[in-house]
Amino acid sequence: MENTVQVNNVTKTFTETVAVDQLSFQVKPGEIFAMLGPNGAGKTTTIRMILDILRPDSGTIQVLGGSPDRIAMDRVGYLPEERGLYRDLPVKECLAYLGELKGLSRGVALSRSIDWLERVGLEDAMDKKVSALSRGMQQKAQFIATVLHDPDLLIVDEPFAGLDPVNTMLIKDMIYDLKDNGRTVIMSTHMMHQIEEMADRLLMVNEGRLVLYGKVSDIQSQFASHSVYVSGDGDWMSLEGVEEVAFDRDEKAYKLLLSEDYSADTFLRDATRHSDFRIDRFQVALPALDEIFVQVAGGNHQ
Amino acid sequence: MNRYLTIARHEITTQLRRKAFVFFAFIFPALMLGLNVGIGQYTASRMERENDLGTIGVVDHAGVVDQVLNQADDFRYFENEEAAEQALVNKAIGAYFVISDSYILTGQVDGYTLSSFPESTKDMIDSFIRENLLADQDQKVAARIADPMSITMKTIGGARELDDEDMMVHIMTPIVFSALFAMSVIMTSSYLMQSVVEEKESRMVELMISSVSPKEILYGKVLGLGAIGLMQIGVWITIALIALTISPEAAGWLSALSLPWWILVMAVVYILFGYLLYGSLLAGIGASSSSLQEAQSISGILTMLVMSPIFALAAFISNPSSAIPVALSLIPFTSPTGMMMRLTLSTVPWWQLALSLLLLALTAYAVVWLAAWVFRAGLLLTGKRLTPSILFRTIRARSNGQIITVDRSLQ
Repeated sequence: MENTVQVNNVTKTFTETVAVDQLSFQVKPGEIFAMLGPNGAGKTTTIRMILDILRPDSGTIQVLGGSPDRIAMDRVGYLPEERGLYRDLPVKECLAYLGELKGLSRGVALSRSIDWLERVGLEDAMDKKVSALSRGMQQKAQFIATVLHDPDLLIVDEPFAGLDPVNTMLIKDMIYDLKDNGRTVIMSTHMMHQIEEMADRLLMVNEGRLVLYGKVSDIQSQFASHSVYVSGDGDWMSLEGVEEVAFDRDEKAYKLLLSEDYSADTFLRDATRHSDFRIDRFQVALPALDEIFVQVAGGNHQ
Repeated sequence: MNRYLTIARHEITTQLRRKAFVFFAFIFPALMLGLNVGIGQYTASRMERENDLGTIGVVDHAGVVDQVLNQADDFRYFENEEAAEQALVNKAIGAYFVISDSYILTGQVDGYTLSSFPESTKDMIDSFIRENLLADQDQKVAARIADPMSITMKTIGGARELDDEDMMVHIMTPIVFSALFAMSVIMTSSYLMQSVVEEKESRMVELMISSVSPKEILYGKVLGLGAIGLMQIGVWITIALIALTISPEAAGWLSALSLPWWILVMAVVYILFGYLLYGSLLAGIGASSSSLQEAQSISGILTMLVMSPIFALAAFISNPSSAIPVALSLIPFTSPTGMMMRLTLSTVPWWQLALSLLLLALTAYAVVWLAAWVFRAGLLLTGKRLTPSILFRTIRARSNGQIITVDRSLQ
């Protein structure tokens, strides 16, 4: 199956700075694809090039099997980082207009707006002006504007910024719904635990260049330090491969640093063979994306 | 897919939702009309009452008043001032006048009244004396002396007749017409600018241009707000016509106002091109400004340009074919107002009209093209100023087939 988004060797230079440098990656159909990186790394520029708001200096971009033109854009939904709606318009009118700009007829756009507003619990607010809505309500309305035309590709920039836990859950469920219906989602965010939880694959950029790219689980094991988490009883240090023992408060378990040639499997076999040891819980210590992020981004700054 | 029609419709409904717009476009002119008609009716009826002094007394020491003509109902003959004064005090007459014995040499006449001496009464006395003086002349000669000429001024070739009696209309027409004209262009263009700035301020821009192209946004806005502008002009003209029809004195003014149909066609052409020129210019300014205040301060200068022919009114009236009026009717930024003033004042050589239209159309085309690109570069620069050097780079980059953006936040 062909890729939903194909970015080949794309470079984009602004007057003095290189915003995106020789970037290549693919987004596969039906996946949640995360883009992360520090501020100014080139995430938004890349998104804007995928959306044909900016054009690359060199390289090519394909969206939904063709060039990113107006026709392709009708199948793409976009939630910009800077949110905004027409403040003086009634909510449903505002949403219907944005739906029309994506090619829906007025009638369809209006009835879908009403359906969505009911679905997210804003049925009482649909005739109110946008400015009369709370911030959380506006965020929900903004999300509706992104999905009203039932896009095949959804691009969301910091979708959870400024949302309370309840609304975060609501938006998260809507994104999962889209994925379950075979839609593709590109998500740019700083919230690492959301990526760990939601994303299938990720792309990390720093200073316009690709630094990490692949399956979230693969990247985590690639960066796995040679450690395991263990709960239970026993003198862990008595095992020859264990070099260091420390209690990890967050994991509520002992973190054991193993020597280079002593694998986690060997440790488990050794520990279960002896009756002096009791193991209640065992886990290979995967690093949090936060740590990888700091490690990669920090390393590049040096 | 004509999404600019969707944008145009959105602009129209948004504008009609604005309370301030509805007030100034419809309620305010209607109020002015009501007020005008009310005051007009009141003063007219008052003036009528005050102007009618009733019978007027005549005391003639010079012997110019013919006894036969003195039979007129409006005048009553008195032997001396005392009798006339007595009649005035008793309110048998409203006023009296005394023709002094040196009248033939000096023309001295003294008028007496209890309150004021209206102009219409003076006119009555004037024609009364004239008729008496000419009583023994041949009737035809007398009529000619009373009204010596009925002149018709024509432009060479006789394209238009300039009626001397309508001189007031003749001067008023270009002033009223061009002021209305300039106001409509400015007003509609500033709606357009305001709408662009608001779109930037509400941070809708990025979402918009992920759905439609900057060109579609520009065209949609120009179309929608142009329609709003035409509608507002329509309302004003309708209200003005109602005002003129209601007011009896204006009926003559209205009939004299009738301009040849082709001047009205020209007016429509100039108003459309003028709006395209100023509208897209102000849209570009709106797109590249960081706030409404900043945009408005720049647009103020353009307002002066549209109005400048009106400031040069004296030159237009004294000789519409002299250097300044001709220049103002050819330069694209002043030509919509300038040419309208010349067309309503005199005739314009066809080549000047053609040249003026050509220059205006070419400039409008260039400005629309430029505005579309400024629009694209400017829209994303929220809160930043588009400097001439950035603008220049944008245009140059465009000619190289690429678009550059300079905002750090875009990265």
